[in-house]
Amino acid sequence: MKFLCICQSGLGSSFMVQMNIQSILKAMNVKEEITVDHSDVGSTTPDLADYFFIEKTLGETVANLPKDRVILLNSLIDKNEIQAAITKILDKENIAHS
Amino acid sequence: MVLLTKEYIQQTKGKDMSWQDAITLSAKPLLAKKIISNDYVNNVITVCREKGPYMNIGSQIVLAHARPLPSTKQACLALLQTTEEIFLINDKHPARLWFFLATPDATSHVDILQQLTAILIDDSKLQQLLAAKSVDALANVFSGK
Repeated sequence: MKFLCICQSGLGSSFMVQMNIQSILKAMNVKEEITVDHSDVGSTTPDLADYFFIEKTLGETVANLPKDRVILLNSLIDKNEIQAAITKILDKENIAHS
Repeated sequence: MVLLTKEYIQQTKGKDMSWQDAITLSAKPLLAKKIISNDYVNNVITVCREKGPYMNIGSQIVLAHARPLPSTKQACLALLQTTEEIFLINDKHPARLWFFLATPDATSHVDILQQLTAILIDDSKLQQLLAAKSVDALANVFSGK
C-alpha cells in the first residue's frame, strides 16, 4: 500500500502531511507496511500510489487522478481530520488498526 | 535546536495589510540577514497568486514557501503573528500566523518542517501562538518555556 501526499512545490505542505500521516499510522498500530511519500502536482500520475492526499483548494489540479483514490484535506495539521480519512481507507482495504 | 528564536519572530497589528504585505514582512528578518533573496520572496507571492490559497495549511496558519532557489543560503524559517486576521487570496482563508519557509534544496529543510509540524499539530501550542501578545511570548512557545 502506498500513500502519496501532493502539493504545488512537493517540498513543504506535502511533506508536512506525510509526517502527520506517518505519526498517525504509528499511533494507530498499523502493522501492514504502508509507504508514505510526497510529491508535486506536476509529476503525479495515477500509477504512483494507491491513495493521494492533497489540500482541498488544489483538488482541481489533480483531475487526472481517480477521484475515489484522492483525499481532499481542509487542514494539513488537523490530526482528527487526517485520522478520519486514514481510518476510512484502512477499513475499506481491510487493514488492521487500533 | 530551537526552531524559532526572537530575531526571526515579528508581531504586528496587521490592520489594512494585504496578504502580500504579510508575506513580505514575515520574510524580512531572513532578507536582512541575507539568508534569502528578494527573488525568493517574489516567487512565493507569485505561486500564491497563481495557485491559490493552498498555503493556508490549517485554521489561521499560512506556510509561505516556494521551490528551492540557489540564492537561499540555508534552510530557514520566520514567523509573523498579526493581531488582526488577514485574508490569503479570499475571505475564506483568514490567517494570523504567517510562517515563511525557505530551503536551498529538496532536503535541507526536513528538520525544520518536522519540528514545525510537531508544534502545529499540538493544539495547545497552536492556541498559545494565537494568544501570544508579544514576540517574547511567541518565542517561549518554541523554546518550551
